Amino acid sequence: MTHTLADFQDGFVQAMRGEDGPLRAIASQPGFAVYRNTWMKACINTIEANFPAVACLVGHEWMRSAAAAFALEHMPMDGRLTNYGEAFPDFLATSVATTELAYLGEVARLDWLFLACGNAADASTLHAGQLAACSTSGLASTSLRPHPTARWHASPLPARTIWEASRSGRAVTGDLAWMPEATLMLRIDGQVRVHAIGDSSCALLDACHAGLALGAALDLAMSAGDATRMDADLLHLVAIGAFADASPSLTKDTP
Amino acid sequence: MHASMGTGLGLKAEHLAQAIDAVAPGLWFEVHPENYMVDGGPQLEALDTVASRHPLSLHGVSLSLAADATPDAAHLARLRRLIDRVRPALVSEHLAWSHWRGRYAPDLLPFPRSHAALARIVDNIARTQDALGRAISIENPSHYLQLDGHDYDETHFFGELVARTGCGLLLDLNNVFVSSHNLGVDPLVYLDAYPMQAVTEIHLAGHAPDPLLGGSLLIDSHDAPVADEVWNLYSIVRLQLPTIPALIERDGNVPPFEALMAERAMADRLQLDARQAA
Repeated sequence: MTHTLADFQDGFVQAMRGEDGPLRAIASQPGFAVYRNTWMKACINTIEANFPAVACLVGHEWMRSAAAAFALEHMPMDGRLTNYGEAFPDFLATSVATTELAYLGEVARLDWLFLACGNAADASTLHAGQLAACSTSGLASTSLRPHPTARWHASPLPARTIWEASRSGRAVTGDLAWMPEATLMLRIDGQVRVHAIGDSSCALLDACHAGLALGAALDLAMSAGDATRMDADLLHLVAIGAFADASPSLTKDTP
Repeated sequence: MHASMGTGLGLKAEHLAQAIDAVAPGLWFEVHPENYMVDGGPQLEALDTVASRHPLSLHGVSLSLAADATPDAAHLARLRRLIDRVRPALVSEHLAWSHWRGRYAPDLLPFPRSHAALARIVDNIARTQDALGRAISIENPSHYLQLDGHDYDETHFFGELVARTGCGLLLDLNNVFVSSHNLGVDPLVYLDAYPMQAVTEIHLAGHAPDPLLGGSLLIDSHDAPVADEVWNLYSIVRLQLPTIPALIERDGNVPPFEALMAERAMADRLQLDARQAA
Protein backbone atom coordinates (compact mmCIF):
# COMPACT_ATOMS: atom_id res chain seq x y z
CA MET A 1 0.00 0.00 0.00
CA THR A 2 1.75 3.19 -1.14
CA HIS A 3 -1.13 5.65 -1.12
CA THR A 4 -0.55 9.07 0.32
CA LEU A 5 -3.24 10.21 2.74
CA ALA A 6 -4.70 12.47 0.04
CA ASP A 7 -4.70 9.61 -2.49
CA PHE A 8 -6.46 7.40 0.03
CA GLN A 9 -9.12 10.03 0.65
CA ASP A 10 -9.69 10.64 -3.05
CA GLY A 11 -10.05 6.91 -3.59
CA PHE A 12 -12.35 6.47 -0.61
CA VAL A 13 -14.73 9.19 -1.81
CA GLN A 14 -14.69 7.62 -5.28
CA ALA A 15 -15.56 4.23 -3.81
CA MET A 16 -18.34 5.68 -1.63
CA ARG A 17 -19.91 7.09 -4.78
CA GLY A 18 -19.85 3.61 -6.26
CA GLU A 19 -17.13 4.40 -8.80
CA ASP A 20 -14.29 2.03 -9.61
CA GLY A 21 -10.87 3.15 -8.41
CA PRO A 22 -7.69 2.25 -6.56
CA LEU A 23 -9.51 1.22 -3.35
CA ARG A 24 -11.63 -1.49 -4.97
CA ALA A 25 -10.21 -4.11 -2.59
CA ILE A 26 -11.29 -2.06 0.41
CA ALA A 27 -14.63 -1.27 -1.19
CA SER A 28 -15.26 -4.99 -1.67
CA GLN A 29 -15.15 -5.67 2.08
CA PRO A 30 -18.62 -6.16 3.60
CA GLY A 31 -18.03 -3.35 6.08
CA PHE A 32 -17.53 -0.78 3.35
CA ALA A 33 -21.27 -0.66 2.81
CA VAL A 34 -21.59 0.84 6.30
CA TYR A 35 -19.77 3.97 5.14
CA ARG A 36 -21.52 4.08 1.78
CA ASN A 37 -24.91 3.77 3.45
CA THR A 38 -24.25 6.08 6.40
CA TRP A 39 -23.37 9.22 4.45
CA MET A 40 -26.19 8.68 1.99
CA LYS A 41 -28.70 7.97 4.75
CA ALA A 42 -27.61 11.11 6.61
CA CYS A 43 -28.05 13.23 3.47
CA ILE A 44 -31.47 11.72 2.75
CA ASN A 45 -32.66 12.10 6.34
CA THR A 46 -31.54 15.72 6.34
CA ILE A 47 -33.33 16.58 3.11
CA GLU A 48 -36.46 14.86 4.36
CA ALA A 49 -36.27 16.80 7.64
CA ASN A 50 -35.48 20.14 6.01
CA PHE A 51 -38.33 19.87 3.47
CA PRO A 52 -41.28 18.50 5.44
CA ALA A 53 -44.00 20.00 3.24
CA VAL A 54 -42.50 18.41 0.14
CA ALA A 55 -42.14 15.10 1.98
CA CYS A 56 -45.79 15.24 3.00
CA LEU A 57 -46.88 15.95 -0.58
CA VAL A 58 -44.88 13.25 -2.33
CA GLY A 59 -44.72 10.56 0.34
CA HIS A 60 -41.83 8.81 2.03
CA GLU A 61 -40.53 6.64 -0.82
CA TRP A 62 -40.63 9.32 -3.53
CA MET A 63 -39.01 11.83 -1.20
CA ARG A 64 -36.15 9.53 -0.27
CA SER A 65 -35.57 8.64 -3.88
CA ALA A 66 -35.43 12.32 -4.89
CA ALA A 67 -33.19 13.13 -1.91
CA ALA A 68 -30.79 10.33 -2.88
CA ALA A 69 -30.57 11.61 -6.45
CA PHE A 70 -29.98 15.11 -5.11
CA ALA A 71 -27.28 13.95 -2.67
CA LEU A 72 -25.30 12.30 -5.47
CA GLU A 73 -25.22 15.60 -7.35
CA HIS A 74 -24.96 17.91 -4.35
CA MET A 75 -23.00 16.64 -1.37
CA PRO A 76 -23.15 18.90 1.71
CA MET A 77 -20.51 21.63 1.85
CA ASP A 78 -19.89 21.37 5.60
CA GLY A 79 -21.17 19.86 8.80
CA ARG A 80 -24.01 22.31 9.35
CA LEU A 81 -26.74 20.10 7.98
CA THR A 82 -29.43 22.69 8.75
CA ASN A 83 -27.79 24.48 5.81
CA TYR A 84 -28.02 21.47 3.51
CA GLY A 85 -30.50 21.57 0.65
CA GLU A 86 -30.39 25.14 -0.62
CA ALA A 87 -30.24 23.79 -4.18
CA PHE A 88 -33.00 21.23 -3.61
CA PRO A 89 -35.87 23.52 -4.74
CA ASP A 90 -34.13 24.15 -8.08
CA PHE A 91 -33.30 20.46 -8.33
CA LEU A 92 -36.97 19.59 -7.93
CA ALA A 93 -38.07 22.34 -10.29
CA THR A 94 -35.83 21.09 -13.07
CA SER A 95 -36.14 17.38 -12.40
CA VAL A 96 -37.79 15.45 -15.21
CA ALA A 97 -39.58 13.36 -12.63
CA THR A 98 -41.53 16.38 -11.41
CA THR A 99 -42.84 17.86 -14.64
CA GLU A 100 -46.33 16.84 -13.54
CA LEU A 101 -45.71 18.32 -10.10
CA ALA A 102 -44.47 21.74 -11.14
CA TYR A 103 -45.38 23.27 -7.79
CA LEU A 104 -42.96 21.06 -5.83
CA GLY A 105 -39.99 23.34 -6.41
CA GLU A 106 -42.02 26.31 -5.23
CA VAL A 107 -43.22 24.47 -2.12
CA ALA A 108 -39.62 23.39 -1.43
CA ARG A 109 -38.55 27.03 -1.65
CA LEU A 110 -40.97 27.90 1.14
CA ASP A 111 -39.71 25.00 3.28
CA TRP A 112 -36.21 26.36 2.80
CA LEU A 113 -37.19 29.93 3.66
CA PHE A 114 -38.97 28.68 6.79
CA LEU A 115 -35.78 26.94 7.93
CA ALA A 116 -33.60 29.96 7.15
CA CYS A 117 -36.02 32.31 8.92
CA GLY A 118 -35.95 30.15 12.04
CA ASN A 119 -32.14 30.18 12.26
CA ALA A 120 -31.49 33.79 11.23
CA ALA A 121 -29.90 36.39 13.48
CA ASP A 122 -31.93 38.12 16.14
CA ALA A 123 -32.50 41.88 15.87
CA SER A 124 -34.95 44.44 17.13
CA THR A 125 -37.59 45.65 14.69
CA LEU A 126 -38.24 49.08 13.27
CA HIS A 127 -41.38 50.71 14.62
CA ALA A 128 -43.65 53.10 12.76
CA GLY A 129 -42.93 55.84 15.29
CA GLN A 130 -39.29 55.90 14.21
CA LEU A 131 -40.34 56.64 10.62
CA ALA A 132 -42.87 59.24 11.76
CA ALA A 133 -40.06 61.19 13.37
CA CYS A 134 -38.39 61.73 9.98
CA SER A 135 -39.10 64.59 7.62
CA THR A 136 -40.54 63.66 4.21
CA SER A 137 -37.29 64.37 2.38
CA GLY A 138 -35.31 62.62 5.09
CA LEU A 139 -37.55 59.59 4.81
CA ALA A 140 -37.00 59.35 1.05
CA SER A 141 -33.24 59.23 1.51
CA THR A 142 -33.38 56.74 4.38
CA SER A 143 -32.34 53.17 3.80
CA LEU A 144 -34.51 50.53 5.45
CA ARG A 145 -32.94 47.16 6.11
CA PRO A 146 -35.18 44.08 5.96
CA HIS A 147 -35.19 42.32 9.31
CA PRO A 148 -32.52 39.58 9.42
CA THR A 149 -35.21 36.93 9.83
CA ALA A 150 -37.26 38.22 6.85
CA ARG A 151 -37.50 35.77 3.97
CA TRP A 152 -39.83 36.46 1.07
CA HIS A 153 -40.73 34.89 -2.24
CA ALA A 154 -43.08 35.75 -5.08
CA SER A 155 -44.31 32.50 -6.58
CA PRO A 156 -46.08 32.25 -9.93
CA LEU A 157 -48.16 29.48 -8.33
CA PRO A 158 -50.34 29.22 -5.20
CA ALA A 159 -47.32 27.79 -3.41
CA ARG A 160 -48.15 29.19 0.02
CA THR A 161 -51.63 27.69 0.08
CA ILE A 162 -50.25 24.27 -0.88
CA TRP A 163 -47.30 24.61 1.52
CA GLU A 164 -49.44 25.63 4.50
CA ALA A 165 -51.88 22.79 3.91
CA SER A 166 -49.04 20.31 3.63
CA ARG A 167 -47.24 21.58 6.74
CA SER A 168 -50.41 21.12 8.75
CA GLY A 169 -51.15 17.71 7.25
CA ARG A 170 -54.28 18.87 5.41
CA ALA A 171 -55.22 18.05 1.84
CA VAL A 172 -55.40 21.02 -0.52
CA THR A 173 -59.06 21.70 -1.23
CA GLY A 174 -60.46 21.27 -4.71
CA ASP A 175 -61.34 24.95 -5.01
CA LEU A 176 -57.69 26.06 -4.96
CA ALA A 177 -57.33 29.24 -7.04
CA TRP A 178 -54.39 28.66 -9.37
CA MET A 179 -53.01 32.18 -8.88
CA PRO A 180 -49.59 33.63 -8.03
CA GLU A 181 -48.87 34.11 -4.32
CA ALA A 182 -46.18 36.16 -2.61
CA THR A 183 -45.11 35.20 0.89
CA LEU A 184 -43.14 36.85 3.68
CA MET A 185 -41.83 34.94 6.70
CA LEU A 186 -40.67 36.66 9.88
CA ARG A 187 -39.59 35.25 13.20
CA ILE A 188 -41.32 36.99 16.09
CA ASP A 189 -40.73 35.84 19.69
CA GLY A 190 -39.12 32.65 18.46
CA GLN A 191 -42.00 31.70 16.15
CA VAL A 192 -41.91 31.91 12.37
CA ARG A 193 -44.96 33.86 11.17
CA VAL A 194 -46.13 33.52 7.59
CA HIS A 195 -47.71 36.52 5.84
CA ALA A 196 -49.40 36.90 2.49
CA ILE A 197 -48.04 39.99 0.76
CA GLY A 198 -48.38 41.54 -2.68
CA ASP A 199 -45.89 41.67 -5.52
CA SER A 200 -45.20 45.32 -4.78
CA SER A 201 -44.24 44.51 -1.20
CA CYS A 202 -41.89 41.84 -2.50
CA ALA A 203 -40.35 44.37 -4.88
CA LEU A 204 -39.99 46.88 -2.03
CA LEU A 205 -38.21 44.31 0.14
CA ASP A 206 -35.95 43.39 -2.78
CA ALA A 207 -35.06 47.04 -3.35
CA CYS A 208 -34.43 47.70 0.33
CA HIS A 209 -32.33 44.54 0.56
CA ALA A 210 -30.27 45.84 -2.38
CA GLY A 211 -29.57 48.98 -0.37
CA LEU A 212 -31.72 51.48 -2.26
CA ALA A 213 -32.94 54.54 -0.38
CA LEU A 214 -36.60 54.31 0.55
CA GLY A 215 -37.72 56.85 -2.08
CA ALA A 216 -36.07 54.92 -4.91
CA ALA A 217 -37.22 51.62 -3.46
CA LEU A 218 -40.84 52.81 -3.40
CA ASP A 219 -40.59 54.02 -7.00
CA LEU A 220 -39.33 50.63 -8.07
CA ALA A 221 -41.98 48.79 -6.05
CA MET A 222 -44.80 50.90 -7.51
CA SER A 223 -43.92 49.66 -10.97
CA ALA A 224 -44.35 46.08 -9.76
CA GLY A 225 -47.83 46.35 -8.30
CA ASP A 226 -50.72 48.55 -7.31
CA ALA A 227 -49.14 52.00 -6.94
CA THR A 228 -52.13 53.32 -5.00
CA ARG A 229 -51.52 50.82 -2.22
CA MET A 230 -47.81 51.47 -1.80
CA ASP A 231 -48.06 53.62 1.33
CA ALA A 232 -50.40 51.10 2.91
CA ASP A 233 -48.09 48.25 1.92
CA LEU A 234 -45.11 50.01 3.49
CA LEU A 235 -47.00 50.66 6.69
CA HIS A 236 -48.17 47.04 6.78
CA LEU A 237 -44.62 45.77 6.36
CA VAL A 238 -43.43 48.04 9.17
CA ALA A 239 -46.34 46.99 11.38
CA ILE A 240 -45.59 43.28 11.06
CA GLY A 241 -41.88 43.81 11.78
CA ALA A 242 -40.40 43.35 8.32
CA PHE A 243 -37.63 45.90 8.87
CA ALA A 244 -34.79 45.97 11.36
CA ASP A 245 -34.37 48.82 13.76
CA ALA A 246 -32.42 51.22 11.57
CA SER A 247 -31.83 53.97 14.07
CA PRO A 248 -28.18 54.56 13.13
CA SER A 249 -29.09 54.68 9.44
CA LEU A 250 -32.01 57.02 10.08
CA THR A 251 -29.81 59.30 12.12
CA LYS A 252 -27.15 59.28 9.44
CA ASP A 253 -29.42 59.90 6.46
CA THR A 254 -31.95 62.25 8.01
CA PRO A 255 -31.06 65.94 7.56
CA MET B 1 -13.50 19.81 33.27
CA HIS B 2 -16.31 20.71 35.64
CA ALA B 3 -15.70 19.20 39.08
CA SER B 4 -19.34 18.23 39.53
CA MET B 5 -19.75 16.29 36.29
CA GLY B 6 -20.95 12.74 36.80
CA THR B 7 -22.91 10.95 34.09
CA GLY B 8 -24.40 13.06 31.31
CA LEU B 9 -26.87 12.56 28.49
CA GLY B 10 -26.85 13.52 24.85
CA LEU B 11 -29.34 16.38 24.58
CA LYS B 12 -32.35 15.46 22.44
CA ALA B 13 -34.79 18.06 21.14
CA GLU B 14 -37.75 16.02 22.37
CA HIS B 15 -36.37 16.08 25.92
CA LEU B 16 -35.50 19.76 26.04
CA ALA B 17 -37.95 20.87 28.73
CA GLN B 18 -37.11 17.91 30.98
CA ALA B 19 -33.40 18.44 30.45
CA ILE B 20 -33.64 22.07 31.50
CA ASP B 21 -35.64 21.23 34.63
CA ALA B 22 -33.68 18.12 35.66
CA VAL B 23 -31.80 18.48 38.95
CA ALA B 24 -29.99 15.13 39.34
CA PRO B 25 -26.55 15.53 40.93
CA GLY B 26 -23.73 15.43 38.39
CA LEU B 27 -26.06 15.59 35.38
CA TRP B 28 -24.66 17.28 32.30
CA PHE B 29 -25.49 17.38 28.60
CA GLU B 30 -23.64 16.97 25.34
CA VAL B 31 -24.52 18.36 21.91
CA HIS B 32 -23.03 18.42 18.45
CA PRO B 33 -21.90 22.02 17.94
CA GLU B 34 -22.70 21.85 14.20
CA ASN B 35 -26.41 21.84 15.09
CA TYR B 36 -26.04 25.17 16.86
CA MET B 37 -23.86 27.03 14.35
CA VAL B 38 -26.70 29.31 13.38
CA ASP B 39 -27.02 33.06 13.59
CA GLY B 40 -29.87 33.07 16.10
CA GLY B 41 -33.28 31.71 16.90
CA PRO B 42 -34.98 29.47 19.45
CA GLN B 43 -32.62 26.50 19.13
CA LEU B 44 -29.63 28.60 20.11
CA GLU B 45 -31.61 30.23 22.92
CA ALA B 46 -32.55 26.79 24.22
CA LEU B 47 -28.88 25.81 24.32
CA ASP B 48 -28.13 28.98 26.28
CA THR B 49 -30.76 27.93 28.80
CA VAL B 50 -29.39 24.40 29.14
CA ALA B 51 -25.88 25.82 29.54
CA SER B 52 -27.11 28.13 32.29
CA ARG B 53 -28.45 25.16 34.28
CA HIS B 54 -26.03 22.29 33.55
CA PRO B 55 -22.42 21.69 32.51
CA LEU B 56 -22.24 21.29 28.74
CA SER B 57 -20.00 19.39 26.35
CA LEU B 58 -19.54 20.26 22.67
CA HIS B 59 -18.82 17.07 20.74
CA GLY B 60 -17.94 17.86 17.13
CA VAL B 61 -18.51 15.56 14.19
CA SER B 62 -17.17 17.54 11.24
CA LEU B 63 -13.80 19.07 12.04
CA SER B 64 -12.27 16.33 9.88
CA LEU B 65 -8.96 16.23 11.74
CA ALA B 66 -7.74 13.21 9.77
CA ALA B 67 -8.22 14.81 6.36
CA ASP B 68 -5.04 15.61 4.48
CA ALA B 69 -5.84 19.30 4.76
CA THR B 70 -5.87 21.97 7.43
CA PRO B 71 -9.13 22.44 9.38
CA ASP B 72 -11.63 24.82 7.82
CA ALA B 73 -10.87 28.24 9.32
CA ALA B 74 -14.49 29.36 9.03
CA HIS B 75 -15.64 26.25 10.91
CA LEU B 76 -13.08 26.87 13.64
CA ALA B 77 -14.25 30.48 13.93
CA ARG B 78 -17.87 29.35 14.28
CA LEU B 79 -16.86 26.78 16.89
CA ARG B 80 -14.90 29.40 18.80
CA ARG B 81 -17.92 31.72 18.81
CA LEU B 82 -20.12 28.94 20.18
CA ILE B 83 -17.53 28.04 22.82
CA ASP B 84 -17.30 31.68 23.90
CA ARG B 85 -21.09 31.80 24.06
CA VAL B 86 -21.94 28.65 26.04
CA ARG B 87 -18.61 28.08 27.82
CA PRO B 88 -18.63 24.28 27.67
CA ALA B 89 -16.82 22.17 30.24
CA LEU B 90 -15.62 19.78 27.52
CA VAL B 91 -14.87 20.05 23.80
CA SER B 92 -14.17 16.98 21.73
CA GLU B 93 -13.84 15.63 18.20
CA HIS B 94 -13.28 12.33 16.41
CA LEU B 95 -10.19 10.67 15.02
CA ALA B 96 -11.69 10.61 11.54
CA TRP B 97 -12.19 12.64 8.40
CA SER B 98 -15.37 13.76 6.69
CA HIS B 99 -14.61 17.01 4.85
CA TRP B 100 -12.59 16.66 1.69
CA ARG B 101 -12.02 18.90 -1.33
CA GLY B 102 -14.88 21.23 -0.45
CA ARG B 103 -17.46 18.53 0.19
CA TYR B 104 -18.69 16.99 3.43
CA ALA B 105 -19.67 13.35 3.84
CA PRO B 106 -21.77 13.13 7.03
CA ASP B 107 -19.84 10.21 8.46
CA LEU B 108 -16.65 9.46 10.38
CA LEU B 109 -14.31 7.96 7.82
CA PRO B 110 -11.25 5.77 8.44
CA PHE B 111 -7.66 6.20 7.28
CA PRO B 112 -4.34 4.34 7.48
CA ARG B 113 -2.51 5.39 10.64
CA SER B 114 0.70 6.19 8.80
CA HIS B 115 3.59 8.41 9.86
CA ALA B 116 2.30 11.03 7.41
CA ALA B 117 -1.21 10.82 8.87
CA LEU B 118 0.15 11.27 12.37
CA ALA B 119 2.11 14.37 11.35
CA ARG B 120 -0.94 15.83 9.62
CA ILE B 121 -3.32 15.13 12.50
CA VAL B 122 -0.86 16.45 15.09
CA ASP B 123 -0.69 19.68 13.09
CA ASN B 124 -4.48 19.81 12.72
CA ILE B 125 -5.08 19.28 16.43
CA ALA B 126 -2.50 21.95 17.27
CA ARG B 127 -4.15 24.41 14.86
CA THR B 128 -7.53 23.59 16.36
CA GLN B 129 -6.40 24.05 19.93
CA ASP B 130 -4.73 27.34 19.01
CA ALA B 131 -7.89 28.58 17.31
CA LEU B 132 -10.13 27.52 20.17
CA GLY B 133 -7.79 28.64 22.92
CA ARG B 134 -8.14 25.35 24.76
CA ALA B 135 -7.32 21.66 24.62
CA ILE B 136 -9.74 19.30 22.94
CA SER B 137 -10.26 15.57 23.42
CA ILE B 138 -10.17 13.04 20.60
CA GLU B 139 -12.55 10.06 20.37
CA ASN B 140 -11.60 6.59 19.18
CA PRO B 141 -13.64 5.58 16.10
CA SER B 142 -15.74 2.54 15.26
CA HIS B 143 -14.09 0.34 12.64
CA TYR B 144 -15.76 -1.67 9.92
CA LEU B 145 -12.80 -2.29 7.59
CA GLN B 146 -9.45 -4.00 7.61
CA LEU B 147 -7.09 -1.35 6.23
CA ASP B 148 -3.49 -1.79 5.12
CA GLY B 149 -0.85 0.85 5.56
CA HIS B 150 -0.91 1.31 9.34
CA ASP B 151 2.44 2.30 10.87
CA TYR B 152 0.89 2.48 14.36
CA ASP B 153 -1.72 0.51 16.21
CA GLU B 154 -4.51 2.75 17.37
CA THR B 155 -3.58 2.96 21.04
CA HIS B 156 0.00 3.89 20.16
CA PHE B 157 -1.32 6.49 17.71
CA PHE B 158 -3.42 8.07 20.46
CA GLY B 159 -0.40 8.08 22.75
CA GLU B 160 1.56 10.00 20.14
CA LEU B 161 -1.27 12.51 19.66
CA VAL B 162 -1.41 13.15 23.40
CA ALA B 163 2.36 13.46 23.72
CA ARG B 164 2.76 15.79 20.74
CA THR B 165 -0.29 18.06 21.17
CA GLY B 166 -1.35 17.88 24.81
CA CYS B 167 -4.86 16.90 23.70
CA GLY B 168 -7.11 14.80 25.89
CA LEU B 169 -8.90 11.59 24.92
CA LEU B 170 -12.55 10.67 24.79
CA LEU B 171 -12.79 6.93 25.36
CA ASP B 172 -15.88 5.55 23.63
CA LEU B 173 -16.35 2.07 25.09
CA ASN B 174 -19.06 1.11 22.63
CA ASN B 175 -16.66 1.94 19.81
CA VAL B 176 -13.98 -0.15 21.49
CA PHE B 177 -16.36 -3.10 21.68
CA VAL B 178 -17.74 -2.69 18.14
CA SER B 179 -14.30 -2.24 16.58
CA SER B 180 -12.78 -5.13 18.51
CA HIS B 181 -15.64 -7.38 17.41
CA ASN B 182 -15.46 -6.30 13.77
CA LEU B 183 -11.66 -6.51 13.54
CA GLY B 184 -11.34 -9.67 15.60
CA VAL B 185 -9.28 -8.31 18.46
CA ASP B 186 -9.68 -8.44 22.24
CA PRO B 187 -11.15 -5.21 23.68
CA LEU B 188 -9.29 -5.81 26.95
CA VAL B 189 -5.98 -5.88 25.09
CA TYR B 190 -6.95 -2.58 23.46
CA LEU B 191 -7.88 -1.03 26.80
CA ASP B 192 -4.73 -2.34 28.44
CA ALA B 193 -2.62 -0.41 25.90
CA TYR B 194 -4.82 2.69 25.81
CA PRO B 195 -3.34 5.89 27.34
CA MET B 196 -5.85 6.11 30.18
CA GLN B 197 -4.04 8.99 31.86
CA ALA B 198 -5.26 11.34 29.10
CA VAL B 199 -8.97 10.43 29.27
CA THR B 200 -11.30 13.35 29.99
CA GLU B 201 -14.61 11.71 29.07
CA ILE B 202 -16.14 8.26 28.55
CA HIS B 203 -18.89 7.49 26.05
CA LEU B 204 -21.44 4.70 26.41
CA ALA B 205 -23.93 3.74 23.71
CA GLY B 206 -25.81 0.89 22.13
CA HIS B 207 -25.00 -0.99 18.94
CA ALA B 208 -26.82 -3.27 16.53
CA PRO B 209 -26.02 -6.15 14.20
CA ASP B 210 -25.70 -5.21 10.53
CA PRO B 211 -29.13 -5.64 8.90
CA LEU B 212 -27.66 -7.79 6.10
CA LEU B 213 -24.68 -9.52 7.70
CA GLY B 214 -26.13 -10.05 11.14
CA GLY B 215 -23.92 -10.36 14.20
CA SER B 216 -20.70 -10.80 12.24
CA LEU B 217 -20.60 -7.03 11.75
CA LEU B 218 -21.74 -4.70 14.52
CA ILE B 219 -22.86 -1.15 13.78
CA ASP B 220 -22.30 1.75 16.17
CA SER B 221 -25.95 2.63 15.78
CA HIS B 222 -26.70 4.56 19.00
CA ASP B 223 -30.25 3.29 18.69
CA ALA B 224 -30.41 0.84 21.58
CA PRO B 225 -29.63 0.73 25.29
CA VAL B 226 -26.02 0.23 26.32
CA ALA B 227 -25.15 -3.45 25.81
CA ASP B 228 -24.11 -5.73 28.68
CA GLU B 229 -20.68 -6.25 27.15
CA VAL B 230 -20.11 -2.49 27.11
CA TRP B 231 -21.26 -2.17 30.72
CA ASN B 232 -18.66 -4.82 31.57
CA LEU B 233 -15.93 -2.78 29.89
CA TYR B 234 -17.19 0.25 31.77
CA SER B 235 -16.87 -1.52 35.11
CA ILE B 236 -13.31 -2.49 34.28
CA VAL B 237 -12.32 0.98 33.06
CA ARG B 238 -13.90 2.64 36.10
CA LEU B 239 -11.30 0.94 38.30
CA GLN B 240 -8.68 3.08 36.57
CA LEU B 241 -10.83 6.15 35.93
CA PRO B 242 -13.04 6.56 39.00
CA THR B 243 -13.98 10.22 38.52
CA ILE B 244 -13.97 10.92 34.77
CA PRO B 245 -17.39 12.10 33.42
CA ALA B 246 -19.33 9.56 31.37
CA LEU B 247 -22.06 10.07 28.78
CA ILE B 248 -25.01 7.98 27.61
CA GLU B 249 -25.42 8.54 23.86
CA ARG B 250 -28.71 7.82 22.11
CA ASP B 251 -29.57 9.03 18.61
CA GLY B 252 -32.16 6.57 17.29
CA ASN B 253 -35.24 4.93 18.81
CA VAL B 254 -34.98 7.65 21.44
CA PRO B 255 -36.86 6.48 24.56
CA PRO B 256 -38.55 8.71 27.15
CA PHE B 257 -36.24 10.93 29.17
CA GLU B 258 -36.85 8.75 32.23
CA ALA B 259 -35.46 5.69 30.45
CA LEU B 260 -32.22 7.52 29.67
CA MET B 261 -32.05 8.73 33.25
CA ALA B 262 -32.39 5.08 34.35
CA GLU B 263 -29.41 4.13 32.15
CA ARG B 264 -27.57 7.04 33.66
CA ALA B 265 -28.35 5.69 37.14
CA MET B 266 -26.86 2.35 36.07
CA ALA B 267 -23.65 4.13 35.08
CA ASP B 268 -23.57 5.89 38.44
CA ARG B 269 -24.06 2.57 40.29
CA LEU B 270 -21.20 0.91 38.43
CA GLN B 271 -19.00 3.92 39.07
CA LEU B 272 -19.77 3.69 42.79
CA ASP B 273 -19.08 -0.05 42.80
CA ALA B 274 -15.70 0.58 41.19
CA ARG B 275 -14.85 3.24 43.75
CA GLN B 276 -15.70 0.88 46.58
CA ALA B 277 -13.69 -1.92 45.00
CA ALA B 278 -10.65 0.31 44.51
